[in-house]
Amino acid sequence: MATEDLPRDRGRSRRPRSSFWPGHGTNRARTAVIGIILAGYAWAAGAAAPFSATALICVLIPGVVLAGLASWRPPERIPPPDRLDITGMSFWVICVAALFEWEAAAYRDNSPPWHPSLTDLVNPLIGPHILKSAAILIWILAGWALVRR
Amino acid sequence: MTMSPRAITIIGFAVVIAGLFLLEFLARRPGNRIPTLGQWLG
Repeated sequence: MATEDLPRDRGRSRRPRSSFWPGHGTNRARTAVIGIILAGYAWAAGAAAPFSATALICVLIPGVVLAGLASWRPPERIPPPDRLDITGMSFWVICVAALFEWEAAAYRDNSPPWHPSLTDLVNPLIGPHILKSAAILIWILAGWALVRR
Repeated sequence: MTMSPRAITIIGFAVVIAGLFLLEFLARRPGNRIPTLGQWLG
């Protein structure tokens, strides 16, 4: 992973690489404004019909914006730990492998009713506009969390 | 009473996803050897 550029001396305070990004607990007004904008965007994107051109654009815009921010205005990155415990990590590997296997088995069989894929199970749950918008907002925030890694 | 394959599939997904949340919960406890999701993604 490309983490060689991250500082390892966690004892010292680090200055953000860009003043555009507020630290934790600072400038709550800006954070609130960004939150409102994201919630509004998620609400608008949630109204798009599935598999339409509008839905495609609504997915592409956050991706382009996050890629642009990561490239030209990168936030202060969260440094990874110096090492991972292999035993502790193995629990994650088992769970993630089980999830992928369960999904792959359903996908391979074309998601039959007796063994539906996770996406087919989740789709009806996020049918209502507000839940779909919440899912989009979580998706954007997860993308932002990945950009900071 | 026997469960249908569909119910078993749904329960399987629920168990695995609950396991992921449980791991994250355990990882955040002090002194635990399990890394958090953020740590191993980093």
